[in-house]
Amino acid sequence: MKRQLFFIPTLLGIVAFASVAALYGAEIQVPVNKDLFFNPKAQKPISLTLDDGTVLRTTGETEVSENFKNYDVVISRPGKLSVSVSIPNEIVQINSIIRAVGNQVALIGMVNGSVYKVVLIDVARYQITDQFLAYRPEPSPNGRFIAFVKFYPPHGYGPDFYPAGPSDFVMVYDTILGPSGNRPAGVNIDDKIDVGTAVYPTGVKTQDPNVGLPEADTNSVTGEFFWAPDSSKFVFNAEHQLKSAQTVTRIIEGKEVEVAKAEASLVLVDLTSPRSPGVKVFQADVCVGLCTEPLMSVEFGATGLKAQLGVGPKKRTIEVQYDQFTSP
Amino acid sequence: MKTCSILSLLTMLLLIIVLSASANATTLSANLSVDDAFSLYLSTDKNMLGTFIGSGDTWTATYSYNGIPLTPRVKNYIQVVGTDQYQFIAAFMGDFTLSDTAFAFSNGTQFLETNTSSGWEVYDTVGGNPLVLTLADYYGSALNGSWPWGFRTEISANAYWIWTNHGMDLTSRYFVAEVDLTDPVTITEANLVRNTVTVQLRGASGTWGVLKVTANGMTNNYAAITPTNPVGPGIYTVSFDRLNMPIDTYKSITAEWDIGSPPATTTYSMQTGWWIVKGVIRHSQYNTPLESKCSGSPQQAWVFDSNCNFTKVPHGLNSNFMNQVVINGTGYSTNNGIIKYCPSTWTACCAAQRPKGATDSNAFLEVSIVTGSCNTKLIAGTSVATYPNPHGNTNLTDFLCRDTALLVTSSDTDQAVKTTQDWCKACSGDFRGTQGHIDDYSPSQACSGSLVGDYGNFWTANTKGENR
Repeated sequence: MKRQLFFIPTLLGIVAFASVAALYGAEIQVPVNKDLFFNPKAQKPISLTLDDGTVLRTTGETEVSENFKNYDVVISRPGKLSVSVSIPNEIVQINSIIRAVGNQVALIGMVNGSVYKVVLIDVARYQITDQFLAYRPEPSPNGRFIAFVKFYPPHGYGPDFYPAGPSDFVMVYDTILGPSGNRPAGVNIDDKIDVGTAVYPTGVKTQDPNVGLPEADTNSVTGEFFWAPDSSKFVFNAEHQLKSAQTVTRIIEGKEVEVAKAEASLVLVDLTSPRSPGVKVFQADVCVGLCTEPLMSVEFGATGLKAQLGVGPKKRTIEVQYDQFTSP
Repeated sequence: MKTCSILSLLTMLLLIIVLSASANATTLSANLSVDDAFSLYLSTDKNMLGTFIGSGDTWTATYSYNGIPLTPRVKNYIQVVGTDQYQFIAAFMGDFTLSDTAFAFSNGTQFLETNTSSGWEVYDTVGGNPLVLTLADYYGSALNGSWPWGFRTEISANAYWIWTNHGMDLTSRYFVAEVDLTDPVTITEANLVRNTVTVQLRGASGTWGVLKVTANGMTNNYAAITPTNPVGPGIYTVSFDRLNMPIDTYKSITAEWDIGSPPATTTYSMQTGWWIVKGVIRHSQYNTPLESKCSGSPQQAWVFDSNCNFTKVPHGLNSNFMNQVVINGTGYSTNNGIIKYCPSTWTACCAAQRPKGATDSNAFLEVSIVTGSCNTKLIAGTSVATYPNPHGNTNLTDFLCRDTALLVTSSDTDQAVKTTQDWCKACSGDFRGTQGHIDDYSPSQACSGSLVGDYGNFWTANTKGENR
């Protein structure tokens, strides 16, 4: 319940829940086992009950091993024997199970302290239909979409190797489209990295390299993804490295000091027409060069949104009207 | 009863008046001997003789004076006019002590003995020409106890007989030593890792005032825990309630001792050793897995060097291990050393030279050492990875290479001091309700991530190398 606990006012949480409930009935649960820690040693079973009475329950970790141990998701359908589905063994913590489209659920697990693995399960066929690696996967309230950052190895970047390091590609997985529909032509449906539709930076393609790029071409998502309650759009903060000529400086105590090597923009992704190229990406450069702080919360309103950036003395709240977002 | 109450009030009032009265004056004690005669003065003007204290004309005797009051709030001078009366040899020896820390000699202390290294100047006459001060060592040693004077028990054993021209200028000489006001407040140390600020308060005995110590941030000042009652001269060590210290960059510490109007203050600049408080930060962990720790079966694999020479691993690599190398970026293989994930989309990863069957998931680059973005060897349990990249970053308020991260527990005790050596791109988010995210390099070599859970959420500050 990260969003409701920390970021969005209770009222908005209720709106989000109501939106999901309207789509799928009153029995929807969004069970989670996450938030304060990545702590594989102490996770408890979690469960999700669907509106047709189907219950999914995960096996919690009872012993710690240096090696791999598969978690099971036990699927109990009304009037049928329970069936266990073994999930990929590199998942060592299950954070949540989300009701997706059709007979699918999305299981969001972690393979280490930063890297996630999303597993799609068809509960009617008792089988895994797709899986992919990701950073910060955030399902839409209606469970159809999953916004995430495309996977790259979390470490190993140095001056002698991958000199410019990785770039955050913002992706959207659409659970309606299935494995092949979420991969570009030529990419195997078993591929766990080149998955989803790339929506930001604009112009990048799913299978484009996201490591070893020139520094000026790299992008960072600072903070989290925030979905509108109706799942039609989501917002994030994108930080871009500046070319040296664009570096922002200020005069501090009589000296010119470089205060920003980057600029940031709030980015709004409109999924009203989710099939690419129908995805619309808008950008609001409301605090160029100075708002590279993480996006901590967003409140969606009728005509605009209120975003909180940063923590401590750098914390600021900005209000942006939707018509201030323009095509990048 | 009423009379009694009035008396009590008067007594309390008197007590308050006594307590708030001005402090006792600093006094000087002196023990000295001159071969052959001297006059001792205390002045506030170096070039004019001041108050006469005493004199002597017997070189075999030591003369002592106590309780000589210094003139408050200004610089004082000890003046000794020495005269040779009976030919060989001329010399002056003594030691001098101040009663409290309101004043200090030029050596920074309250004790001064005669020698040529510090504290004394010599002139041909009062207000006259400066001369070269020497030991009176014409006969050899000039240390207290030397021939022909013998040991003077009243004077420090480390004092020397001094004069000009090694004691052979058989005439009068004017010796002067400065007694200067001390800074009433000095911060001698400020260390967030030890959580201590050491403050030295100097003043005449009886000086009292409330001590306040604050860390000065860019947007706020944060008070240390200090005694609530007035304190006197001495050395005080205070600390901060670190857990409630606001997120900010603290560049200096100010100590204020309220002993008058205006209060005595000093500000201690921390130069580049700033305290950059980040708040409560999520510390996840990463590791380099060991192939032998992995269950699973071997599968075909290749390794290649930086010259794109590919070698097929004879018995393959463990399948789970290869999977973890892709996920973590690096791994320790059993027979091929350290290997790195190297996707073919990057030109340096030898895509064109790959043999048939070699893919991103089973062909790895061999490297000799596990390094972070700072290009230094990662140390398990010590290295941390931060966002933004510490390498090449010039923003001093970010974690830069070699900056230290202080981790403090929820009971305000130090958990660890770690060193910034790597970049955690993913740490730009996934804060899990905290105010940031740092990835700590774990000593675990487990294959599975199940033993590399979060290190914990800790109050964290960048102390810029303090106690590295």
